[in-house]
Amino acid sequence: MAKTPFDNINTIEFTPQVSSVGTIESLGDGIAHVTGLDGVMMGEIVEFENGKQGLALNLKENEVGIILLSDSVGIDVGQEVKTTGRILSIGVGDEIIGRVVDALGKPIDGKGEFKIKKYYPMEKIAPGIVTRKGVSVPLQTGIKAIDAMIPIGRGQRELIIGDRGTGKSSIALQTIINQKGKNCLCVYVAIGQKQSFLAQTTATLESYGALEYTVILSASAADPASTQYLAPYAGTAIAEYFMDQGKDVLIVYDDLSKHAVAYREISLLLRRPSGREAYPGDVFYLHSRLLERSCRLNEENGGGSITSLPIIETQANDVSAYIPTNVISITDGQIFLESDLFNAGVKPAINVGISVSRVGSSAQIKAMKQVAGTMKLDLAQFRELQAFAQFGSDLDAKTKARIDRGDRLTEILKQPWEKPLDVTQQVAIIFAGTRGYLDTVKKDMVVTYEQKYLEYMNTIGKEVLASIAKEAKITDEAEAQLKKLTEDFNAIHAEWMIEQE
Amino acid sequence: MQKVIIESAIKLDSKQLEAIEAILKKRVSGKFSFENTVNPEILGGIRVTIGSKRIDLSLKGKLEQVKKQLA
Repeated sequence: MAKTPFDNINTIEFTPQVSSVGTIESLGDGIAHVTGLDGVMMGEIVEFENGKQGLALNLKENEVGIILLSDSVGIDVGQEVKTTGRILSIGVGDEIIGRVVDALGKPIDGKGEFKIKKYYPMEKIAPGIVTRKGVSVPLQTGIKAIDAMIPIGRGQRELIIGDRGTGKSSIALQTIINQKGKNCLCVYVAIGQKQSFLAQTTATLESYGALEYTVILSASAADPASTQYLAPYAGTAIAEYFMDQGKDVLIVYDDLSKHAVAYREISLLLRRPSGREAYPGDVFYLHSRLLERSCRLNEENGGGSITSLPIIETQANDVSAYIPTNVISITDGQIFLESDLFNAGVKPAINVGISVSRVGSSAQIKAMKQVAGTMKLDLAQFRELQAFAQFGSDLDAKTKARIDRGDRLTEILKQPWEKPLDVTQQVAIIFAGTRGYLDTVKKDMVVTYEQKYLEYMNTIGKEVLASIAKEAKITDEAEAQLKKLTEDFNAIHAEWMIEQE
Repeated sequence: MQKVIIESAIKLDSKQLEAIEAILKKRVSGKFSFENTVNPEILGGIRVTIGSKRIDLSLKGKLEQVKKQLA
């Protein structure tokens, strides 16, 4: 016999519904001002006569300010509003992976409903101190500049900050693509983005096979400010569902600047007092309570983690503006992208000097620490001397050596965005760079050198790379082998070397 | 003085109203006046509104619960 919805009819329980009711006094701009509703709770969902829902955010003496969670079609002044006794939550299940949903959890990719296992609250108090564990497992982004000098660990919050068009979303997407096969689920939250960009991003992730482990949550620019405000919290709720199963999750918030703007819009429409840059007084709390939920849990609590990569867009590189400074103080480090570097051809346009990861080398495998330890210093010394690079021939040997080393390290850190590198490959090329094997290569041949070197190492040096991958460090034996292989390679490609005078 | 509105699908007779008043006296503090409004939309049962608080014992409310629990 086929299963009908009425099979469970005997199990239905009838309970008297006690709720508060109110009447809409005024309606406009996505906000309903309602009188009555005496028993309404802060952040409670309320229901309008036509079944549409709203969120009670302003509890004033004589009226309640409710933001609409959908459009206002069918809602009119004078209609009745009822409380539901529920706070905002999103339906999650294992089948949400690979789907594109909106901020309320409804699928928008046209592939039908997915099975909801549980309802997770959107607002939640972050895990306490006792339930956490320190960050020690690396999250490989596949980007050399980041994995070598600004390493990110699972459970960390690392901010990606820069002007428009500097490659912030690209870094986040590249990190998601690099999580293939690395046991890390991904959630990409698009806040206030163009729908065309989202379509493009979904297609890109699908073409790299990343959609198998990614959930995309979108509150596009066309969606009401209320859903744009809720989107990051909804995304975090989805991530928490998987973290509670003991899994590692990466969540990208693209971007929090638009999120702050959506919140400002709602607050101003609710007539809340405004402060600096017209943002409401609690705009710090808006982001701090969001980002505190990204953490690593200890074994007793499942051992899962949420790593977050919030993105902030600056105007004219001004990192001392209100929202950027707020989020910088909340996160465990930041990756600065500069348009000057981007225009000079350094892509990814990361300014390694001012980028920081407060977790640092605890999130790196030993092999990477062994080769990249001196790189940051080499590059810092190079930057100091960069102004003198113009005087090529008039410099003393030591200064010239530093500048040459810096030039070549900068060249190897350049990376096309769709080519994430596995960590052993990174270790190999950085080994060549920091141990000086590149110093004799012509500057404009470094990129070709890198490509051919990695091909060489993947064939002839396969065993050494495998041993590094297995041990997660460079044993003395592996080091000797690496040295020999690199020297051989240099000898083979003498045509790329600078002629010695 | 609080106003209590009792909505029913058909007009209630005086015996029913007295029974309801007796229960209300125990639940509502202070003086109250109540009125019986006929609202066919609730289909059956009663819906009591005390100020802003509503207790839904109507047939329509029960059907909505059925709908939610079966979904």
